Amino acid sequence: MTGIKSQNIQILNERWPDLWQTISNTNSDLEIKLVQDGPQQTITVNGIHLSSCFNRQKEAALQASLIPEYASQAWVYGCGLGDLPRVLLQRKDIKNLNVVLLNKAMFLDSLVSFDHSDWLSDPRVHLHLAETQDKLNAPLCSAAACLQIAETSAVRIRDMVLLELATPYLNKRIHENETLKRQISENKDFVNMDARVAELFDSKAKATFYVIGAGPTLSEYFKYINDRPKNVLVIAVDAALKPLLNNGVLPDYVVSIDPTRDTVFAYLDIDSEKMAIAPLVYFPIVHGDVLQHWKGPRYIACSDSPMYEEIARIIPKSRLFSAGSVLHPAVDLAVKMGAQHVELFGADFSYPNGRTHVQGALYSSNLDAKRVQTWVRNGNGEEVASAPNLVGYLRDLEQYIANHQDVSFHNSSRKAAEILGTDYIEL
Amino acid sequence: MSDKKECADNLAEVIESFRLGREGQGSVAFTKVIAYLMPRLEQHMAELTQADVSLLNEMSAAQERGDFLFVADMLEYLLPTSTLGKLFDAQYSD
Repeated sequence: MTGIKSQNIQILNERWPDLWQTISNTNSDLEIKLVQDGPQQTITVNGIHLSSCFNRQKEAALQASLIPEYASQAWVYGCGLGDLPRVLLQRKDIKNLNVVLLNKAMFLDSLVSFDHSDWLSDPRVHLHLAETQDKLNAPLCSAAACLQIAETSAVRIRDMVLLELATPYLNKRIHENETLKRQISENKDFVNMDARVAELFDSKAKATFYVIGAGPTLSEYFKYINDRPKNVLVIAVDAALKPLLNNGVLPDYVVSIDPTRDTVFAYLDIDSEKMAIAPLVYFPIVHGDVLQHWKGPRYIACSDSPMYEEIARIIPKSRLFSAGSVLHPAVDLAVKMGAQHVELFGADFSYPNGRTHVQGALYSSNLDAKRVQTWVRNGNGEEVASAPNLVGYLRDLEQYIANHQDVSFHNSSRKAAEILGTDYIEL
Repeated sequence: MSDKKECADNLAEVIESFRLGREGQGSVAFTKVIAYLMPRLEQHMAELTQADVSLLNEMSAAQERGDFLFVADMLEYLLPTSTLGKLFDAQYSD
């Protein structure tokens, strides 16, 4: 055993014997190579460089800059070659540094060639395995490449880190979108005259709700939904409305938060007297033509997004949770109306069977293989294609479910992305 | 803002975003950099060396496999000294 490796292992064994036991028993088929593609050595894991090969210290300093200057504690997701913990430990204000390993096999391999003994032996350091983490902690930073090579047991926490890192940019894009701001402003008349969604809150205590997304697996459950007991209520997202109606299902509520005029107009262009009584719950970013065209009652709501700051002063109690997916406010509507049980249909957050939406939905198509950027586990433990935004929506819903332990959530299809906090409906 | 300055800002944004794990933001900025580069590449094709072509291919391959830190390294340290880099004449923000 080399000097570096033995020193690393000695510290791990002394400080975290159980954790070291787990790490040392890790097997993996990762292709790990020591490389020197620049002035500095690094490791590639399945072809991905774990750090800069030109200036690791400068890179680590940039990554550490996400932790506020005088923070007394910090969370590091993925330690890379140790440069990031090392930079943070130079700060005297840091009293607790929590380091979460996102890939045990990679860490094990790095112990051979890279000296981690300095930061591992610092008493301020607390080492964790990703699988022991059920929530994200802050303030956080990451040795970014570790996010790319996170092992299966670290995928959830990895997704949450990616989402957290992306949030400032996503919010900025929305906030600076003049078209969206104008569309909200043009809906002032609707804001003033429409009913507030808060009027629906607590109106259906202890009810069971079916919340319907437009994912491909919805097509397997039309009969089940149609055969529902009379006291079960159906909330549908806008894109699922026509497929539901075409299969004889009349939702009790429809939710829309999409600003795109033509798309939502097509979703909701229903020529049916029956639909005239179904309320539309909408965010004021929905285009005015769509709102004008809707035959049934309308209830206005908004989220915590800064773009609704002015509207929120007018309708302060009519907030619905949203982190980008219309399924979020649809679920929150059910919960705020008093749901005791929520069953999810078409909440796929992925592309089961290589389809993008339920058959009959406006943009239903076969998946373009080039669009596959990421994967999630489905209820059968299989990898199913997804997209970064869908994974983000999934993790946000999981966090929402974790924050609402008084409601039971159930998922319909094992072919769709597994949703933590739900069990499966026995059909 | 001039195209050149905007490209330099976009390049800096790509490098920083990729190093921070902000892949989406980095990829959007990278698309803008490529959009700036392509017409200039076509104009100056004859001046490009084999090393430049290799660099372009490496960057494209690295981006495809999600090797974002290596893309950042190539943009920050290899591009400025290449013939390709002279097409940008870009000054990176520090």
